[in-house]
Amino acid sequence: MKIEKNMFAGTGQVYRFTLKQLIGSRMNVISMIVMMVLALFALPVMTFLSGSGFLDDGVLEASAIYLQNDTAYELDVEDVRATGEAFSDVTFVTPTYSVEEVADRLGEDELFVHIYKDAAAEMFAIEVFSQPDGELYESSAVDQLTAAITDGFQKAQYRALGATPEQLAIATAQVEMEAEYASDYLASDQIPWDVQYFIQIFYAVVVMMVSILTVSYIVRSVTEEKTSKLVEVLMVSLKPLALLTGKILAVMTYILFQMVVYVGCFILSYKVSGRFMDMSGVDSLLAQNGISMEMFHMGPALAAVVLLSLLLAYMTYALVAGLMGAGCSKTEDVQSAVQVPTMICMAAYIVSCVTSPLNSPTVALVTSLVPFVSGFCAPVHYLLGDISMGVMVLSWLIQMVVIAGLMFFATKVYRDLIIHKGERVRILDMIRMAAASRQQKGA
Amino acid sequence: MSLIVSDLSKKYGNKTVVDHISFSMEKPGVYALLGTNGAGKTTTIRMMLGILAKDGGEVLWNGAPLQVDTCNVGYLAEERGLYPKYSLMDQLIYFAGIKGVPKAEAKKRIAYWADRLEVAEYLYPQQTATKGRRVKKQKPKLADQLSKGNQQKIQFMTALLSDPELIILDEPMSGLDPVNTDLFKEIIREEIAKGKYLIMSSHQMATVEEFCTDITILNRSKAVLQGNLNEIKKSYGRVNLNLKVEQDIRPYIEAAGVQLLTEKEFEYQLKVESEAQANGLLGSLIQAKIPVIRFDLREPSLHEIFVEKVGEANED
Repeated sequence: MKIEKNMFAGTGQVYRFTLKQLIGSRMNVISMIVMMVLALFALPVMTFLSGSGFLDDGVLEASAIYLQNDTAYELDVEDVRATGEAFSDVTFVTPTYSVEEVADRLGEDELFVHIYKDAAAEMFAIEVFSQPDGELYESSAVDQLTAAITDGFQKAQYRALGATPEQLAIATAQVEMEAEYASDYLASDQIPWDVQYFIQIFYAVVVMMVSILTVSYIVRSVTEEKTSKLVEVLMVSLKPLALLTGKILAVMTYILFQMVVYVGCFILSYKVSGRFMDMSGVDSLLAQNGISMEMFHMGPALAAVVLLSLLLAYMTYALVAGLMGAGCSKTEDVQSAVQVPTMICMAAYIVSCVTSPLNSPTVALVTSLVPFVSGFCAPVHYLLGDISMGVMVLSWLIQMVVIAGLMFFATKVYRDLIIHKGERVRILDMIRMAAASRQQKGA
Repeated sequence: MSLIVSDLSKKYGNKTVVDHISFSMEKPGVYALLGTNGAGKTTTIRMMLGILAKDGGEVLWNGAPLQVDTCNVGYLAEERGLYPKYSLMDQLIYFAGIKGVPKAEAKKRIAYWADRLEVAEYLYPQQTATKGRRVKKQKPKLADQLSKGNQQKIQFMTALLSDPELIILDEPMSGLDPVNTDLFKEIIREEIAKGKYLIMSSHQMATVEEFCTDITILNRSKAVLQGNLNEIKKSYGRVNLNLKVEQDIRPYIEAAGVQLLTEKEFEYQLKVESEAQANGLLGSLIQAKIPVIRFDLREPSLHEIFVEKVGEANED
């Protein structure tokens, strides 16, 4: 393709104008606000729906903690206090009533701890009582207190047996247990299948969302200029490629801006909600599906691979959308014009989802190189180690060739398409137009 | 400066829509492209501007191919429009920007033309009412809130914002009321006085006749007549006679062999073959002592030339 010097002259003007109109459009502002609200409130709502609620601050605010120790082992309150800030002010009071009277005499902001030996079961028991209507009932701090008293009681037992502080530290050290299948242990350097699948789906959904939004914006934007009869005046001052490129870049900026805002809102929501709410329900739900926040931590090199791949996929679909939009003459044609690139995009998305679980090196190679599909698959395969950097670069090169081909095609037909009126021009007709244009030049 | 259009051709399939059209402008002024609907005027203009690909021919401006980066062109398209939902000011700055006019300069020019074309109230926030000390401002209008005539003024403004050397106006006055038609004419006269090159396509022959020095009449993709308008008219001779008397003179008209076109309250529109024939008719009326209130012998109008030429071409 011969690149003329002034082929892109005016792209900046088109870019700025289109971006300003996209950002200023009342409809876009409303939909963006709706999406931001969804991104901000999705997690808190999910948390409530999962049965979790607000976090308590973990500080035990009991006006009195009665301790009745019916064993021979004396509990050292310092052991309890040492387990955390929540119990730094804990003091135990000897009760003036028996455990049988707890239900009648215990205050709403008081706790009653009873340590005794269960002779029948031949074990020690620690019971913590609170009033069911009180603020301390079901408080996580009470659970933590119970655990701290248990640890303290165990230390009291060891001390009674004459253990030195060193022996005590060894005897009460935390033990972490991990049980896993032998096959999992042997394949521990590989990313689990469900995680791989999630990464593929997540990336494919991002590409699909970006592409479908792009297709819709670009087809509407190009068609609007045609139906408003503006395009003829614009074409006097701008080359078709400058007009198309300016639009594509403006829409890309707008969509990326939207994505950053939504992701920002989501992260903000996660961070803020995590301070006040018990997110363990959401976390465990995500974990059950192999998702963890660590997955989204990428190094700059990997981020560059993902961004470049996303950009190339975006350009491919945006150029197809521009051509489809130029073939429309009426607003009614927009729907059918959007369908073509959307269908290609959906097909590529489905291919990426279906082929990902196959875990086949050949399939990974093919889906990383085939245009339109490679935008969905190649960076994920690279991330998972299914393809090498060489194959990744080859994939980009193929996509660049496709983009250059689409631009070349656009230079052949865009000018004629843009002043076309009547029925929507189909792809086959566009190819015929391009061929006719080539013959005319040849003649 | 000069504009040379030579051998412009365009075909759609087997149909020729512009057939070897050539014309030139050696000096500033107005060149009229006239023709029936579908004659090829707009296609010719689009090819000149590079909007449509040419099948043949070339367009030269100062000896070099006409391109937007070598010639500052202002264009008012036949099919004109504006972004319906965007602010008019943004649109005008954008149109000026793609013509290379910086934003600050564009704002000055917009202010000038808004005042000149009497559309400032649609471009700038208007003070509508005062409530106590509070001044209420009304937002500038959007394109789809303007009347067709006012939209046309904004579109005319976009064509002039870059202070173009070559101005192409495709049916500039269609749909305008008489007041705005006069406003457009005044601006066109000013542009001619500034030494601009104007190409105008129109169906309104009287309007074109007011400005143009040279014409090309197109019919069915071909040029059927072209040249300097005065010379064309001279070649036809003074053959239109307007005669006003106070009685019926039809017998004298018949006797002189003059063709009667119309008659209304003893005012006759006649077509003569020569000035001698007209003078013969006048002589016979004087001899018969019939008072003659008006005797006006003129060249044919552009409208008549157009209708005659297109009619001849269609008969062929």
